[in-house]
Amino acid sequence: MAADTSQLVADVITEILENLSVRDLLSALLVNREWCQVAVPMYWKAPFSYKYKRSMTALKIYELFLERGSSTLIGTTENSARGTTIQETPMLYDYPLFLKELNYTNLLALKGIDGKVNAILQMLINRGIRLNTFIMDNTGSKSERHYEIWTTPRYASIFSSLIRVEIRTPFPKNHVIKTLAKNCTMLSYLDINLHDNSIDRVKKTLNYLEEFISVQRCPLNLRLVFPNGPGKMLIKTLQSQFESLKRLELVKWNFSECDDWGWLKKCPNLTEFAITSSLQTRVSAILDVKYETYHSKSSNNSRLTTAHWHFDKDGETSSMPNFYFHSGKSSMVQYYDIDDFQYDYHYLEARTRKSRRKN
Amino acid sequence: MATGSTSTNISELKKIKLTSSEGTEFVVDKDVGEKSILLKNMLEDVGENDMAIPLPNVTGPILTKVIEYCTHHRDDFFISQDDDNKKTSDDIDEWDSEFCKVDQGTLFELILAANYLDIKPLLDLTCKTVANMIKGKSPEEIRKTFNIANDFTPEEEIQVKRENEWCEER
Repeated sequence: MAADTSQLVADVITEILENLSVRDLLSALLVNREWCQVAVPMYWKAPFSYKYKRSMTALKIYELFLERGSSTLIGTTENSARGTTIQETPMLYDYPLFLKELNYTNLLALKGIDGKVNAILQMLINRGIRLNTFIMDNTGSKSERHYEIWTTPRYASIFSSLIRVEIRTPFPKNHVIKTLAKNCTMLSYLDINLHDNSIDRVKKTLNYLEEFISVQRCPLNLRLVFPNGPGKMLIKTLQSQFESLKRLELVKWNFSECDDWGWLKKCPNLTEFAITSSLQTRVSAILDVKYETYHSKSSNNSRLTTAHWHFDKDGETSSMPNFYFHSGKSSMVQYYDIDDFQYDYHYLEARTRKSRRKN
Repeated sequence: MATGSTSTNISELKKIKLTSSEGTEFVVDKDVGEKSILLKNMLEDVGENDMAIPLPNVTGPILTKVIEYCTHHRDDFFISQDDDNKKTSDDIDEWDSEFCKVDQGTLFELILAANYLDIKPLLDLTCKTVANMIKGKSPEEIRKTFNIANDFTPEEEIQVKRENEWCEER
């Protein structure tokens, strides 16, 4: 039988291309018009999540959209000097529209970005962008803009559909937790580094954390790092949220005053629990399950050991990674499909069986 | 129409009938058929019924393959690999990879059938298989592999390349 790809409809092509790396996606989008249509949005989902050079060329394209304002096809032609630069040709696609994952740290690190961040964010707002993933790495550099994106109300809409958040910068985080609590209901992955010396602010942060967890619609994979953070307060916060926790990793908290770990048994959806080692014997005594240890490099000069307990739920253990928060893949490298962890499948299957693949 | 109150213990032993596009009738165990979410939902909606379910979009040979797949995996708990590890296309197991050693036309028809019948693991498997055929290929090689015509105008092609160049480095 003659193979004919024309029988493959667009959403099936999407399914196929979702398996590809960005590099292969680039080849795919040059195949023909139909493949281009499918591959371009995937190719532009996370333009700032790759190497510097790639992000720079993506930024150049974004800048072209900044220069021409909101007009893509009409309005910029007649009087300006014609014919030489690509600014004159309408773009084939509205590329910023496809943004789903923002690596904010990478964006801020780009050459010539100064003074443009707000314009870019505004451009995203104008397009009604809803991010799935937001990432801030710890680069050591301090920037006030880091705060701004979380404190400026007009940027809030960008966050409303976040599913995955990774924040590793060392600044007081109650702004972030507050913004997440006020805007997000669909998060399934939060990995955040907290740090604060003021116990009042920590209390506030934990209150926002409680509010945040309580409004999420799916069980949450939560990793909280807080050097010497008040463990007892944290556990008190979590105790009202047993059902919401799917995986929980608590790193560097001070649990010296915590004796009762029995609450872990009351979390019906918990499949993995991890803490920084030193407490594992006490926790193990309660959990009655063997733990495994994981050594990770938390920063350039320190190593971190965490003890992990796994709980079988419905016999679905086999294909699960042992250490959920340490799969060893950085989002810088892997082009994962964000929609995949949009919903917890089991959790939602019962509710909406059909909408799963409505594209 | 009968109201379908399903008592699970009995229904697991039940058979269901399917009709392929040519009108050939297939009888399969209900649990095998229910690997297809489409059929599962249909059976739930319709309830107990002896009527054959027509599948006008699926040919007999393809339906045979689909049933082979669902039978082999009948005891699998089709979980979603909910995590980002999912998109590694090299983790196809041996039986599955043998199963996909078919000509391209059949493979595409399997994809369409899996999509239509809503059998996510089969769709993932077949799509991964096709994706593996794309990996590392140039656009021209992809066109050749799948017999696709390049319908870009030369100007368009240049523009697509220019606007999407940011990954063109090793």
